[in-house]
Amino acid sequence: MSAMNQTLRVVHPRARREVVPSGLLGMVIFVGTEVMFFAGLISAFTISKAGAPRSAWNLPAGQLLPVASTAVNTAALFVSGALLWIAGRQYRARSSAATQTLVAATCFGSLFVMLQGREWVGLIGHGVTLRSSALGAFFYVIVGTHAVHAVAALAGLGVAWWRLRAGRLSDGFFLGAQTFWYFVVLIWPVIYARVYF
Amino acid sequence: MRECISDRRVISITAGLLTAAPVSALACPVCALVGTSNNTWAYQAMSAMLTLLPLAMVGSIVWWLTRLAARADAERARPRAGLKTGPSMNVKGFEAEPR
Repeated sequence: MSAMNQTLRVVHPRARREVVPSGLLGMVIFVGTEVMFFAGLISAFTISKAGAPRSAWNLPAGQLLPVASTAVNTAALFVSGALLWIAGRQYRARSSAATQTLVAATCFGSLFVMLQGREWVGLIGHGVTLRSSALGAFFYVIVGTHAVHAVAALAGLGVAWWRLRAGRLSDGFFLGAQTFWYFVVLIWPVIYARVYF
Repeated sequence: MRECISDRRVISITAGLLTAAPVSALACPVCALVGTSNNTWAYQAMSAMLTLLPLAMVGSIVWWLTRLAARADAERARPRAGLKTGPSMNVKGFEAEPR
């Protein structure tokens, strides 16, 4: 009997623990790669701008980048980021108001994308295209890439809202969507300051 | 031995050509601007940024995870007040509330 007990004794491995949700860690690593992607674009822009003669670094037909209206768009983006932060606090406090705040954050984010799109339409109408000048090419590539990220992040927030409404939202998914949107919000001032001025 | 001499010749001829016509050595179109424009600072600043940024990000993630793991260890080691042992222990009370 004692030999049998010895045979059946199970050595329990050290319990695995999750110190951070896997979804959030995956998103943080992904955001790190995206930061390097934008760093590469901004690096290329900075070196090309510094090397180009001042007279050659402009848009066709004396056009200027819409600095003032983009400041308004930037404000909408910041409001969206702040609302998402509040939604996160409400979500952790299990408040039902998190759903409405999340919708408001998504709406302000969508407003940013739509206003940016309107600016693009205006610039294209004035002959500013990818091939019109080096500045135009950089502008559309960098700002366009940011817009693609913004749309993807908004889709993530939309899914988070849908799951929250249905009571099926996991902490990992919400934190992942939140992290991606914060990345979109925080990388924008860097792009705005470098490209528009 | 023969191959070695041949390689040396190729290297000498290439080096001679590049010395005679250094412009051909500039494979990067932007590099042609070096010395003719004021973009040295841009090269240096962007090199520093692209070198330090990934190191800072990886370092931050490692520091963050270490901090979270240490906090989880501390919480595990802390004795829970009012915790009953044995069959009457209310395990459900320690679970996260369903959303």
